[in-house]
Amino acid sequence: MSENILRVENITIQFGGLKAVEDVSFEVKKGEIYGIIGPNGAGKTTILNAISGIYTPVTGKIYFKDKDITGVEPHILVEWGIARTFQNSRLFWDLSVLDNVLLGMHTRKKMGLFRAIFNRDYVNQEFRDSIKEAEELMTFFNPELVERKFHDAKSLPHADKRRLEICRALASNPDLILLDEPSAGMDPAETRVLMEELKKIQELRENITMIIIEHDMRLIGGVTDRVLVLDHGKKISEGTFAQVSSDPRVISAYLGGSLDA
Amino acid sequence: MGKILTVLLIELLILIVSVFALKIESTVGFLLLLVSIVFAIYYGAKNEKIRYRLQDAFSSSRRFALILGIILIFIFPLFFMDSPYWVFVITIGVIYIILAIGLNMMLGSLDLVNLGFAAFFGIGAYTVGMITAKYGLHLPYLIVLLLAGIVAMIFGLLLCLPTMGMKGYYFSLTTIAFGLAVELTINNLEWTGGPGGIKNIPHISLFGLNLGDSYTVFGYDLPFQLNYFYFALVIMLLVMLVAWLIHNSRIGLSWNAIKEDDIAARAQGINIKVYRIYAFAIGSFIAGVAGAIFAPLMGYIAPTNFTYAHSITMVAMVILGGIDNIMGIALGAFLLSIAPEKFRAFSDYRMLIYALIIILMVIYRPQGLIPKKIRKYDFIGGAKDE
Ligand SMILES: Nc1ncnc2c1ncn2[C@@H]1O[C@H](COP(=O)(O)OP(=O)(O)OP(=O)(O)O)[C@@H](O)[C@H]1O
Ligand SMILES: [Mg+2]
Repeated sequence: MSENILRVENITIQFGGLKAVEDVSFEVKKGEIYGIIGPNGAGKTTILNAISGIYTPVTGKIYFKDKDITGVEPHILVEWGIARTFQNSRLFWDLSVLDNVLLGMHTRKKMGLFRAIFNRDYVNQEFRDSIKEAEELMTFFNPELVERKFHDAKSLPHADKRRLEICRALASNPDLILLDEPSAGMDPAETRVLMEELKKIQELRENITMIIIEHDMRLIGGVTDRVLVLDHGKKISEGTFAQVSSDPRVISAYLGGSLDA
Repeated sequence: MGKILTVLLIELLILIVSVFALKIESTVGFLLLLVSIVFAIYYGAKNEKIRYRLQDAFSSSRRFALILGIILIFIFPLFFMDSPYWVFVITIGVIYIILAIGLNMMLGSLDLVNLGFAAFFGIGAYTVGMITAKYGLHLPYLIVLLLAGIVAMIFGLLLCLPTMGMKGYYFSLTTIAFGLAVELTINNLEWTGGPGGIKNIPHISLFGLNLGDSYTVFGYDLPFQLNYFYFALVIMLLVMLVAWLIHNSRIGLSWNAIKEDDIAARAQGINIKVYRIYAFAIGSFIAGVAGAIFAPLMGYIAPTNFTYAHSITMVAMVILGGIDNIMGIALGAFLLSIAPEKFRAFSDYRMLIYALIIILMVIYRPQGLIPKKIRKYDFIGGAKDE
């Protein structure tokens, strides 16, 4: 077992003629907080979709815990320990806040039809345990989520919607969590709070590895151990935040962008 | 105490109104009653205070409400002892409730608008007809019932697998084709009796009782249809129980997640294929069981009992009553199976009216008369409301 939890080797992802990601390689260490940054359209979300199984790269391989996961279906990857959030929140809007988190536990708690119908003691006990666990998780982020547990997810304030999606992803007890612009749509104050919360996730879940996408690179300077910089689908730099932010290629890619805004 | 009284009064009121609705002779009178019922439910649900009072009353005396409700349903047909025809009609109503609950497994839980659901009903009925009338096999009825469910389920899976990736109208179109294919096949095959169908299907005999006999209780000669009513009712209650158990389990929860956003559902580790198979298997099994009650009750079945129009009717029942809410579905199915009897004068327009109901509901009240509730998990006794 190597110290790398994720190894991406020379992946290329193509949409028709467009190479959204071209020959990108990187490795993420176990327990690391790894950032992926780059201007709009750089290919950040596409890489994340490949890791979580939504897209299959045309060439290249992805290894998770030294196992080749290229082309494995998304629901299986969750079972193997990869959870994610979406850039444009994809909560179950008409289900309750609580149900959203309960669904995050699916891989650990799913059950067959026979048990659902004939073993109600089991079902009820399972729900009691899950609800308790869900409430603890929500309390960690914002106790108000627990107060609103029986409200529709769509009724939450924006920042809490983003938090709820992180809760739901954490509920599967992942080894690797992929966060696609968790601060999208938040104001600067909310974003600062969120970044602190993200750092605290590792207190809650030791050894969890996180990949965080941002397009505003200053935001994650204080959070990440290392950063990968993409531009036009290609890897242009990698290293600590200090290293990449002084890399001339990064500066030119971001020129007029958010780095010096 | 006040709450129990509220529940008692409401349930008695529902009983009285239902009896009255069926007894009214005039079409106009029935129409007026129907409209006032719909309005009462609509405005009752809108008024916060009334809704809260009722919800509170029913949720704090749940067991009482349930038992009383079941007792009242058992009493219900006794008001129609003078006209066996009405007992027959409400028995058909119960069969349609079973069907609508089966359909809801796909339509309500997963948003798969199956427009060929009557095919499963027909397959169940024909299975019974073939076994008992055509081949004259003397199997115990419960075995026949089970077989009807299983055969329908096999066809359900046959429809499920090729439509696995389909959503929206692609799915609906395919189910229309499936429904028509089944209807045309039984219509054209000599083996299934062709357009003439199957005649002389024997009555159900169960634990030494023949449901076709008229029994005498306390000196009253009860019409044989009553036996079928009670049998269908027991099956209906069982189906409702199973539907409730599944809805309030992780299977129902996963269904609803897939319905809302299948990509997000997969990102939670939900294997969509498995849950679609569940929905088709259970839904079509239930429809087959409904067919197994229907065939011996009628004594004669033909392809015209299981047409596209019947499928549309079932969809209208679920949409009118309330998607994913068992009580709502029961209400919708019952209303729409009684209404045609009352509107015989307009029977030419029946499909038009169903189509209108679907359109109006989808526009003005997509959640149905009795909308689905958010899961509060009060059945586990652990998670209390705020
Ligand atoms: N499903 C798709 N079909 C076609 N093109 C796509 C698809 N998904 C992404 N692309 C294209 O691939 C490129 C990379 O997109 P991607 O969403 O990965 O960028 P991003 O770095 O996440 O940008 P942003 O910061 O705007 O989220 C873009 O040019 C985009 O238009
Ligand atoms: Mg993106």
